[in-house]
Amino acid sequence: MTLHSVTDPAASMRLLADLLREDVGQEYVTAAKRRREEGTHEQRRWVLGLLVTCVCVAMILALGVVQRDATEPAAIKARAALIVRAQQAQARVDQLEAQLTATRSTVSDLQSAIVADSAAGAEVSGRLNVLEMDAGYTAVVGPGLIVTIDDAAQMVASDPGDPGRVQDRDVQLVVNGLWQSGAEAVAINGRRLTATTAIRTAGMAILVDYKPILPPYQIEAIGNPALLASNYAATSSGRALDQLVESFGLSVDTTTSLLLHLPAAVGVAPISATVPSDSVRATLSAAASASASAGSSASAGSSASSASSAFGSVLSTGGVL
Amino acid sequence: MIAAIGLVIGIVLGVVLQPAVPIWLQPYLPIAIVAAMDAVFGATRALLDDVFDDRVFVVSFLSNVLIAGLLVFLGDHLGVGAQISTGVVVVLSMRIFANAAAIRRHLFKA
Repeated sequence: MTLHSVTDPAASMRLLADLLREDVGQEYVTAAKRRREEGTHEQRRWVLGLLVTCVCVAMILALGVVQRDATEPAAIKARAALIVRAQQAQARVDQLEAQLTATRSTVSDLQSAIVADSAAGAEVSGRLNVLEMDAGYTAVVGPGLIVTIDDAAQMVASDPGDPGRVQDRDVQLVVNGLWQSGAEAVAINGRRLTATTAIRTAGMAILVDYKPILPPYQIEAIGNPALLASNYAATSSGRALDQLVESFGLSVDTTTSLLLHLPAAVGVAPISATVPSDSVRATLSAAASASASAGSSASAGSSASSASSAFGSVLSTGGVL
Repeated sequence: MIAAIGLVIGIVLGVVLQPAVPIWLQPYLPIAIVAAMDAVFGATRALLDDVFDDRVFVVSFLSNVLIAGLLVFLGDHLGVGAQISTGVVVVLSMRIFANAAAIRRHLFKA
């Protein structure tokens, strides 16, 4: 017996077979047997009970099919809700960014209107332009280098740990290499970088300035194209990237361009700022209305010069603007 | 005939009305579904065996659903709800398999 069960390859299935051989659902059989013993041969009818029970049974089955989303795991629902909220927040960010860009151009218009007509103003304006360009505060145009990196062709898209996936570190490597090679302005997929822009990984996406970007990653750098290209190839970043291409199959493409348009960075937060006093604000609005009406040049000139002195006082008392 | 009408009415009601299952009843819905399937398979087998009985059908369905629900309720309060649910589903599935096998023997003689 023991020997038999050992040699029987399906021994472990015996339990299941026994259970199936047994009359598991035998209420009806027992009831029929009892009826036979009692001598009543015709089956009892109970129309209402049968109808109600059938309705119940069918309703439960239908509900089971219809209400699938009710028993759907809570995590999936929560994820969907989070995606909706993230998209709404992203839309709000886009809207605020557009508003910010518009406000910024108004501010710079006002600034140039104020300082336009005096030598001191022109000097301030020139310095401001250079600083703004370096800080990524204004859009810039010029020749430069484009480095495009993309995930390896044989990468498994669903695997966040695939070595063929471009990581934040790789993008940082390229960007640092470009700065090192003398780039004057850098943008990734149209997001301008500043000194404080973060390039980080979140989940499977790379965030530039807390905004997700998708591969291929196009890194544009403005500068002397020939110089940039030769310098970049010689930097440790350029060599490290070559190694990545060799070992993990990332695709990297470097081209020069005679005309690159890099937008202003949107995520620039001032480290410190000064709110102008009431008198300065009054002069500013007077200058704005003067430049808007653009009537007699004499009145515009006088208000602009007075405004520029007020501007100077803000700079000296308020420190960094 | 009556059973078929009842089933159709029930499906139509369930699909059209889509009554909201209260949140406290939702853990019992899967159990109730398995119990309902068990009742249907058992009744079909009894019909084919020519021993179908309205009263047995009604009583066995109600008692199965009630006992299954009660067990899961009790298990929930004892902290073993998931295990008891599994047990109930295994037992009912076993019955469904046995009844389905009997139905298959009837229909296909195999």
